[in-house]
Amino acid sequence: MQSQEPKPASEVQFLEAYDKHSDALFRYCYHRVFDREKAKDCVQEAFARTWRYLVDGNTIENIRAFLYRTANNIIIDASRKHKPSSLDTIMEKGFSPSIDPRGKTQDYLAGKELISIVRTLDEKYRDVIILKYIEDLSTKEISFILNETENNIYVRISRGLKKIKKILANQETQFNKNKKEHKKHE
Amino acid sequence: MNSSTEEEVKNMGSRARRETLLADEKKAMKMQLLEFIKKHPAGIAPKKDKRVFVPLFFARRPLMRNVSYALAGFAVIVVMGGGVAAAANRAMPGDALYPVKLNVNEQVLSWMAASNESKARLHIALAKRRLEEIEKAAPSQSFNEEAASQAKVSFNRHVGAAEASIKAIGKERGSEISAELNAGFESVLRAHVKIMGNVIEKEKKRDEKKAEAVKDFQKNVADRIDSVARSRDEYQEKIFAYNSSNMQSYATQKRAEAQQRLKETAEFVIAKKENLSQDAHQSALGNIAVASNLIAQGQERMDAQEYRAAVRLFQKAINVSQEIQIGVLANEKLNINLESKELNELIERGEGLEINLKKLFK
Repeated sequence: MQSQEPKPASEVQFLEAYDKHSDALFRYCYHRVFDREKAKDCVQEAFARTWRYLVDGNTIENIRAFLYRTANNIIIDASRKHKPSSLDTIMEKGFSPSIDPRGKTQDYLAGKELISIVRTLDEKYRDVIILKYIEDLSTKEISFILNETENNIYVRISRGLKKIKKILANQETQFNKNKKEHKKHE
Repeated sequence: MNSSTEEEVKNMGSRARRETLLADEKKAMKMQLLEFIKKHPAGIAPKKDKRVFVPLFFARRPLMRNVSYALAGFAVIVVMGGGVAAAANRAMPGDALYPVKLNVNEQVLSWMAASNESKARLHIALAKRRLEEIEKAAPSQSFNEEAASQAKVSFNRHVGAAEASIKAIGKERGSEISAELNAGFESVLRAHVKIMGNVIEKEKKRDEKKAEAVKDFQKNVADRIDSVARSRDEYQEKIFAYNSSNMQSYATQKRAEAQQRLKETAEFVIAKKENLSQDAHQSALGNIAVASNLIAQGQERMDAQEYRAAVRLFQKAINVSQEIQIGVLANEKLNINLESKELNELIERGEGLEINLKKLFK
């Protein structure tokens, strides 16, 4: 991959990388594990492993992508070990994909509800959507992080968007239905 | 095909980007990373160990042997083999394994904190954890007076240890870090006394005994605030004495810190908006106005060359910012809304509370 920033050969540069990327990495982990404390643990582990990788004599051309990849591997390992969160658990934590029947027409299209929809997608679509549209990474970086070809990434993004479109359409139908029923009772 | 959907997803993405680490969290995590780097310096490849930092949630297998440095703050190390320690780490007041969590798992954490600053941050985080546990566990069936008492003993132990470490830092490194830690700790305690007040009111309607147990804990916390506040004042006076020839520069630095904290807090409140009740959101915005007001007052004192008074006001703004963040998390997790004396006073005085968030992000 093209080198985008100085290689963190020294402690100072590595800590600069921490200052620069820890927020974004935390956000990525948070949107994957739905838990603030777990996300922080993930970030710490990713940085620690990255430092160890450097201390072992390796070089990193793109530390941002490397950190995301490391975090991604940590999360995958953990999810294999622990039971994945069910939608119920996710909803308990406040990530509810349901629509407020009191009807904030525009709100359901933006913000939290849309994030909740993305999180209900299959992992292979969810990860690329989060990396592309929340983390603002390039397709090349995403392919490195997820260890996939760029072509696969393009396909997944496209399919992920199609699925989101379908979910939104279904929700709009349900929302209009709820709205009618709500009016009946008024 | 997907252009309007893609636009919506892009908008969602930009909103989601507001979720970030809090300043204190980032600082505490950086401290831990520094310690890790010191134990694994560049140029000296370690011999065999494959993992040296194994937080509980991402551990591959039982963890005793590969842990080699302390976690301060929010991460937890499991140090016994098997599922017992893991289960203990999740225990809450009233659970059978809660004493194991307090007396074994966390005890090992404190042994492993290397520097006085790590120790101080660790003990503050663990004291804070006791507060959160009581607030969360109070409505549960298993919570009782004994559980509250165990948590209180642990809380007092951690407060004492934090105070001792802060004192040691003051001797070895000067007063700035000590003052900062004390000020942060004081904000935490003040916010949680209010949160507990809400919990007590809720529990009174359900179970008087539980409410009394929480009230007793709350009083204990309130008693601690005075000593932490006194320490903070003492260190602040030392800093003033140290900076006496350059107070303007110190006050300017403090103002910048207060503005940055307020900006982060505003971003945090915006990011959390969908998770909050309307009252809590309004209250958070109102308190942002309070903090903004304090910074403005501090600026007035600076203009009048009253630098000490300015610094105190900027510090108060920083404390309010921290309390806002704690209050937001409390509403999110416990459905509690914190009252603010300063906000109520402003409202009573009829002062405008308009805040222009865009100004904060300028």
